[in-house]
Amino acid sequence: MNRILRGALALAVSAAALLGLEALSRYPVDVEGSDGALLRLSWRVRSVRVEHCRKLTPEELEALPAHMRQPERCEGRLAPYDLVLSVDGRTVERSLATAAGARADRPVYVYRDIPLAPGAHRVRVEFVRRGGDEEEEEREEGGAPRHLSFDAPVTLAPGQIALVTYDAERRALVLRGSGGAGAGMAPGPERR
Amino acid sequence: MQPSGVRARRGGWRALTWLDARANGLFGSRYNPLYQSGAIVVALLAVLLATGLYLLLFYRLGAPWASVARITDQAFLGRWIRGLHRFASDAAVVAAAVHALRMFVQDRSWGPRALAWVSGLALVAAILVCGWTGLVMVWDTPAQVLAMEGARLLDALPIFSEPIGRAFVGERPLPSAFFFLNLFAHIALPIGVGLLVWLHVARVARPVLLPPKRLLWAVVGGLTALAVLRPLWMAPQADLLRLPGETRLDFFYAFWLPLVRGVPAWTVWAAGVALVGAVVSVPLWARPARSRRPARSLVNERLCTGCEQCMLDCPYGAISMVPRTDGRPGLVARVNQDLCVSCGICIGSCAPMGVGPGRTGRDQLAAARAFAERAEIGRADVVVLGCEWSAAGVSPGALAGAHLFPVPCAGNVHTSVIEYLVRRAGGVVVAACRARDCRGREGATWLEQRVHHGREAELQERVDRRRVRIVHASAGEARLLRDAVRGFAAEMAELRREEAEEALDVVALCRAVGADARSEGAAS
Repeated sequence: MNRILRGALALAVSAAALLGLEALSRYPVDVEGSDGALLRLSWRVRSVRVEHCRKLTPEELEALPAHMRQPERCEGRLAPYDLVLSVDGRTVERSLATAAGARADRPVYVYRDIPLAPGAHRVRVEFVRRGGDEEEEEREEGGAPRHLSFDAPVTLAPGQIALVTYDAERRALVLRGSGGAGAGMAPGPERR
Repeated sequence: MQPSGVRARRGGWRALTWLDARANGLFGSRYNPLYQSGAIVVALLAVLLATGLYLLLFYRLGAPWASVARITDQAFLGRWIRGLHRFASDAAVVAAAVHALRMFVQDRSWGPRALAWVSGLALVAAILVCGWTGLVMVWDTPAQVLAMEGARLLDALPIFSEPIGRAFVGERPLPSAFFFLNLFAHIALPIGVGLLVWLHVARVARPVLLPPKRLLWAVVGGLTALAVLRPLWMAPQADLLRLPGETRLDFFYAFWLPLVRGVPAWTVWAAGVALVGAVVSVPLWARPARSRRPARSLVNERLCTGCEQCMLDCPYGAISMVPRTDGRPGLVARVNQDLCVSCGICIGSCAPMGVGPGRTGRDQLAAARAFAERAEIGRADVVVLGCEWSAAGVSPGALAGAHLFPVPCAGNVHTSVIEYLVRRAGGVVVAACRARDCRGREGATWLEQRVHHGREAELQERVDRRRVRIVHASAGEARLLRDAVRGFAAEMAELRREEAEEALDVVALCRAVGADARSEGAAS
């Protein structure tokens, strides 16, 4: 092969490799069906602490170091919530949302993604605390109400995500993002 | 005959040698990018650093997508710099993969080279994480996909009390702190990359960190031209309340994404840990059985003259000069057994034949004598001293009828062996690998220096250089070697004919002189 031909071939191979690199740097993937839609439940609430206290016996007190002799021992945990989700009258999810953390002492959170077909749906969410009385609720200032519910029609366009979340100011579950731009940034056009 | 350690990696070896041969044909061995894959990665990291510094001037944490869009709108500067930054990062992944594959199929990943293997994998991991953070920084739809999938996988680990995926639900705009963390990781990791590169070449003497200038400018120029002619585009801004749908991902950093979508996170982690474990442990499972591992070099201190040549020649810095303990003045060579990879290049460097991995130049000479006797080598024969990793070692047809004396590396060969074989045979071809493809790194280079440029232990001047030829032919270049051997054999045949014509037939000459004298006497 003479030098010129070899040089031309080397150039062609290099160009092909570069173009291949460029093509692979933006290869199309259908990550999530753009013809589908999504109902997202996501919120975080501070639950109340449900405690059970008992008085220690004299023998138990005697066994403790002097500086740790509290007459009453209380054990407790943050109360969990029952979550029930219904879509168009059909129960889609029924679960228990417990407090996060290794000792179950962090806020209760909910994070669910439910694929739905685009269109109008009736969404009902019930979020009910298990346990805890009014005294405990008063003690836990700023905690979430015992019962949160959401029951409303939700219209989803193709590719849209409807977010049901907790509004701390209104102390209620609210809908965001359905039927138009949501709380996220507005979509921008593809630009070259 | 294939080198022993390669059999298990036969498929990769064959593919690599085929590609090497084609690339040598196109670019020449000096500029073959496959041979320079490691150096190309370093060069691309430098390009990334330079272009990244420019992009950093215009990136805004509070408006990531908008700031990148402004950069992309700078037609004369920002757009192609951003493109060069992206394409260089993609090319770095490709070059790193080629480099790792080469080291694996060439059996260069175990023993003292294990440090380079593991540090190389850490480098790849750092490059990948750097790339992910860089892609997420743009905060377009591909970034959204990457971030959310990454969060899903991280949430499977029992280290967060709440899913970090909740940050991407769209309840509120992402805080600048997220982009700050991303940017910090993207900038801090290159510092780690620099340290890892230093570690990667720590056990290599005279590391080649950059490719030849022509190749360097070709790579950078080619990527720049690509960035100018095929500019990067802006994907739509991330919208956490919209499904990404069809989006365009960077395959080099997101190749794993389509594979893990819909797969439970714990399954992904289990597969990932297994894969990483298998790759990191290559130095353990790819090494030969203990009984088949080559011995490390040892110095015969009685023979060592302290000339330091083996220390200078060792490609892995495994030899040092230490004070003698036998009462003689001067220094003596000592091999660090933990650094010696048994390449045997020290054999060829030692004139008194006092060093080698389980064998020295004396053993080579004895083996050459036995070979010559066994094969009944005569003046009409051509001997190929063939590196078993070159075309001579893997393609019997490349020998064109010559006799093969195999060696583990052409850089092993003591010049006394060449001299001996030249005396026995008509000519000697030393078949070596391409200089940048030598498994011992510098074997082919030192061979040339010893035969033609007087490097110790040099081929003696008394040896007729017309009868010695060095042919650099990689494993996939059998035809090159065959043609060279045939041509050399023809030259040797011509040389024999000339010598025969020039040779004095003393008996015939005396008879002719005697006949002349008798006829003159009769006449008088």
